[in-house]
Amino acid sequence: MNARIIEVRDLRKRFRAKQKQAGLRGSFAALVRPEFREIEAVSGISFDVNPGERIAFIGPNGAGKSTTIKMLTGILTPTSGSIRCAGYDPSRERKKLAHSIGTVFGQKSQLWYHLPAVDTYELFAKIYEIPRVQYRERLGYLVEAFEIAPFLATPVRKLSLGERMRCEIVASLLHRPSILFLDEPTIGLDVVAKLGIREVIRELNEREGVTIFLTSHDAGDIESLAERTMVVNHGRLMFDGATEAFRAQFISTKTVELHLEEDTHAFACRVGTVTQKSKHSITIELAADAKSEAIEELLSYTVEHFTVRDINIFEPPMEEIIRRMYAQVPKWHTTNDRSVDTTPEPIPLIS
Amino acid sequence: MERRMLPWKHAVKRIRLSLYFTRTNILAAMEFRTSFIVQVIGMLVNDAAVAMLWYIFFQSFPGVNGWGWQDTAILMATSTLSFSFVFIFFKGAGDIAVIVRQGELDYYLAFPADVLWHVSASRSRIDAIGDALFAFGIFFLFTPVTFVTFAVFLIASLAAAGVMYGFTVVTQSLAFYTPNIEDASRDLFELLLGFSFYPQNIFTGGIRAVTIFVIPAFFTATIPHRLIAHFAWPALGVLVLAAIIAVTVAILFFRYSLRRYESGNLMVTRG
Amino acid sequence: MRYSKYLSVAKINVTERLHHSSNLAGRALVVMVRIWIFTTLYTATYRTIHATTIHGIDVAGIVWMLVFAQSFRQSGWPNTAAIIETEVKSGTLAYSINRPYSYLLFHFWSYFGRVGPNLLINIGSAALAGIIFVGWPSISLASAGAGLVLLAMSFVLDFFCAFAIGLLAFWTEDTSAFQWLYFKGQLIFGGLVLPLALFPDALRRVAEWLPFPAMFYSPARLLVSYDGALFKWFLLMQVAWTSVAILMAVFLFRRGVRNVEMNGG
Repeated sequence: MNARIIEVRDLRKRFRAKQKQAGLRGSFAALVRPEFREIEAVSGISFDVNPGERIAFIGPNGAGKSTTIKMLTGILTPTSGSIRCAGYDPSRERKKLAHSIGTVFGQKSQLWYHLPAVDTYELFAKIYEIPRVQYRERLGYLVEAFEIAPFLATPVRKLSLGERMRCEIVASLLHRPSILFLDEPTIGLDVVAKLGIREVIRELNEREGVTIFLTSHDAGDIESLAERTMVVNHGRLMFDGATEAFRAQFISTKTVELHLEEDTHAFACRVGTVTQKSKHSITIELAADAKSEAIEELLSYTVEHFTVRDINIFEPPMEEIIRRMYAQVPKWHTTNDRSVDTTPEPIPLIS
Repeated sequence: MERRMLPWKHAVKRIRLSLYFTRTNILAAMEFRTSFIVQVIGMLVNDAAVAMLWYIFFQSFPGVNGWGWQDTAILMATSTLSFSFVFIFFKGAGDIAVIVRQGELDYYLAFPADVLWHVSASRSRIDAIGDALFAFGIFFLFTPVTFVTFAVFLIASLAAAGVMYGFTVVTQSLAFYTPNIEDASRDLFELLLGFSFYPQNIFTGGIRAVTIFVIPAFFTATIPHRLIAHFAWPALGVLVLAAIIAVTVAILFFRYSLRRYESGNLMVTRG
Repeated sequence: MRYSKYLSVAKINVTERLHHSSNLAGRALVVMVRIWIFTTLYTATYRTIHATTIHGIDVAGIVWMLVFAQSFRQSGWPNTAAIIETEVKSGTLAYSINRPYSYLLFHFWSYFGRVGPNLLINIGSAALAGIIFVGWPSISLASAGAGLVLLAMSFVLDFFCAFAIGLLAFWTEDTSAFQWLYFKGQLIFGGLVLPLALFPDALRRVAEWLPFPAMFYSPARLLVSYDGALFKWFLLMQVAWTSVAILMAVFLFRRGVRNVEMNGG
């Protein structure tokens, strides 16, 4: 068996975008003598994925993330570089590859809206040419594993978002793909539903060894689902390593927002850095390591000297983390430098 | 999961899957029972109204260049049947422009099925069922029905549907090259239909050339009528050949355009 | 001050139409081909019966009648009945319960705000086709006057009919069936493909009592060739049917609103 399920080498993608000046004259000029601008959306990405890994593939919008995934799934052809995905060249063997990959989009549904999910499953079984007996077995197994039996016969339009997402994931697994691409799977879900979906995906990975390739803006998704994180920005791989390492390095601050009864100008706690201050509220950023003690110190000071009306504690958003990460990326994490092998140990397949 | 199949078995599989799609579409539409019936009957009434209009015309003018009411009935039957065939089973072809613009093509690309076929077969128009009912109705009511004429009616309409399908795919696929072409593509199709109910022998010279080389109404309307009214093997041959050419050109053009789409160098904004 | 509001609605309409310029070109092409087909059809028709005029109208006259009738008919877009139906179903109409006449007037003026620019655009391409295929229309002062009067009235009539149909939404889920019947009536008896002048005599005499010829056929017919008796007849029909439509609209409105108040919408 080939050790790597995905192999990407020096992947590049350039687009030619038409340039148009504003206004009527600009439109006319663009029609007669079009000007083009070359955009390099992906600038030499390389990585390997072992079967059974759970990977978060993240980056700000416009970073080259979705372009890379489209190349992995065969929707786009690369300008240069090579990809082997599940043993196939995606741009040349897209249909064969389609049998080995599954896709779930949080924002676009694959299920037919007015019919029960099971009707979509029947359709997929036919499109993927799954033999009847195998389909029944597989469906039975998935229905039980994902606990969708109660609403299998309900029209999809009547399902809650959480129920629908479970059904979507089942749809993507009917044909036993070896890789599952998930794009924002928990978007719009409440906390309980999010936890449910994450658990179900983790279980799936453990039971069947399906490789998970996740794109999400939700930090919780990333932390609970992915043991490895790849960060893409400006078309390059900015980070490729254990999620833990990513967290330790970059999800490194906590921000505390205090709304006080009294005037804040008397606030004199030395913990952290004050990033914002107005008459009755103050925002303080706490640095990496001393987090828990810092919070304790900050809070006891505050409660001792002030009356607290409201308090918010949050971590910086993903965009912020990545922006900072890009700003302070250490040398040994830049792209294409294979001198440090950050690929984590593959999870053994449970057969 | 790889299976090498005989081309004939492959075709049968495709046909069965197309029918399954249509069945699924109809099931989905029947979730709203009244709307389903209203749509089908509405279209039937709509077509009947147009037929009535022509009936009145031929009361005033029994023949135009020798073309009478019965000819129009035959023409309406076959044109409507061809149209309903395309739009019951392959309506997706008429949505290609919208699908490309909305970035929905990526959804179809993720499946192991031929993209053009999948896009075409996965959608269906319910009111086209009303068209089909009308087509059979007017055929049986107003045209000389024999086993032969009925068989010719079916075969000619099927071939004409092929030409209609090819034309739709080609005009819709222009969306791969220019944005905002949906309305123009739809207008072109409307023109094709527009030629389809008038006495075909009034078209001569320049306008006749247009219906052969630009908007193929010659193949979707003129020839099918002629075959049913006075059958002739050469005419059938021409029609079948036109259908094969139309569908082949459509498939090739779509595939070529799709390859360009995959290389990403298009002016169309992608999601 | 109120009129400036409707002027701006009209302006927005024109700009919106012009924005989709390729769309406009496509529509213009469709219209021109359609006129070309009509010209071909009626030239052949007249030739077959060896006539140059029928009831005093020649082929050019027929084509111009079609140009006008089709342009007039398509100017009432978007479809008022659909608009009213949406407002009934969404409950927007409920807000106007206490001010029924201003609700009616608002839609009335909106309709005319749309008709203006639509008409110009539609007439533009259709008339161009007419000129190319059959030459300039021969419109006398009398026919112009009669035509314009009937045109104004026909829009009024169309508006009230569409408005009344839209109000049926109070009672049925989907008024599209009624809308279709209305449009088909216009197609068959509204001179959009076969002008009434070419109908078999017996049928024409009956059809002239329907509201449909009074709508867009009548101004088209009078513009092409003045006929005093016909003018009076169509004007009478328009006034009569408009009254009926207004009464229906008011009746349906009151009944519908009472329904809403009793059942809570």
